[in-house]
Amino acid sequence: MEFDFGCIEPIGFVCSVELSSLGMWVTGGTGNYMAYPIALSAHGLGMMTVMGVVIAFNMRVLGFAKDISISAYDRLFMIGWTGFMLNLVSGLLLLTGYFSTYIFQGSFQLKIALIVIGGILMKSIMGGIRNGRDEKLTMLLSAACLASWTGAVVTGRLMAYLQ
Amino acid sequence: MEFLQPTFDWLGASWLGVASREVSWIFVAAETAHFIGLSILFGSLLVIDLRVVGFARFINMKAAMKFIPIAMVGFAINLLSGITFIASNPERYGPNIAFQWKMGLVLIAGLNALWFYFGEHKELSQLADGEDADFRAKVIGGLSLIIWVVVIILGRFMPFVE
Repeated sequence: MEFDFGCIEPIGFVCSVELSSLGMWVTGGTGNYMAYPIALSAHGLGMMTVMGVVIAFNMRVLGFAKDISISAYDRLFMIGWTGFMLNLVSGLLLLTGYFSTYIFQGSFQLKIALIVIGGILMKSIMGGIRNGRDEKLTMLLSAACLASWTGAVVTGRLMAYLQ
Repeated sequence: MEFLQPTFDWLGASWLGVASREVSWIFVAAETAHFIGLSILFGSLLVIDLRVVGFARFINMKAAMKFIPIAMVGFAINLLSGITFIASNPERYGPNIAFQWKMGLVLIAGLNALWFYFGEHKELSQLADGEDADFRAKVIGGLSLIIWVVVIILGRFMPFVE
């Protein structure tokens, strides 16, 4: 399905977001062309940080480097959360600037869904480890968590190519 | 980076260059692989370097070292996908200032990693959980993290400084 709002005039909520002063600031409409590359770089850095921590943690849950105690990952989670906040803020900025493009885009919707699923799985895995849940189930959830976050990266990249 | 241009041109004329221009999904797949490779590399470095600098000093150092081959897998994915980018458009990358700085920093990161592996690796593997690494090792670990953060930022800036 194709949506072509164009956002030439503020026709309702979708365009009013994109044409807001914040949206215009992100896309360079205010004459400041640095906001977009800075937001994009911050988004990339945040993503690598979150994905890095997700990969390192889930590899451990799946049995790699077993000598590292799970609790030792607490400090890494702090870094992971920092990366996530960086992603959230930069992602909201980018979304504001290109609201009419992203909000109806299937790859964007799938990306957000995979991030939510990935986040729920991370929480569930942590809870399972604390409560001594069946190890095989935890490992299964961990593999699903890795797949979900990897899918989020893939769909995020595809946003530049697919509608 | 003019001295590398003949190599870039050779890559561009190779089967990889031709394929990456003619088959639309190859470049997209390489971009995705580049992001995932860097995530694997950066995640592994977070475990190792944050342990070395003392931020996550209760990570078992010997076990953290098991992430070194994983980091190398991530780097290999990035190297191959990065070569595909250059092959797809050999004229684009050489003159790009962000690309030049990025490659320079990757080279420094590589030398830093060699210093870490051959200079500190053995001694660090003996560290007990919670024990601080020596100052020189902390400098190497800190440098590694800073360099890779800048590499990631420069990579994202490349399309904007053409």
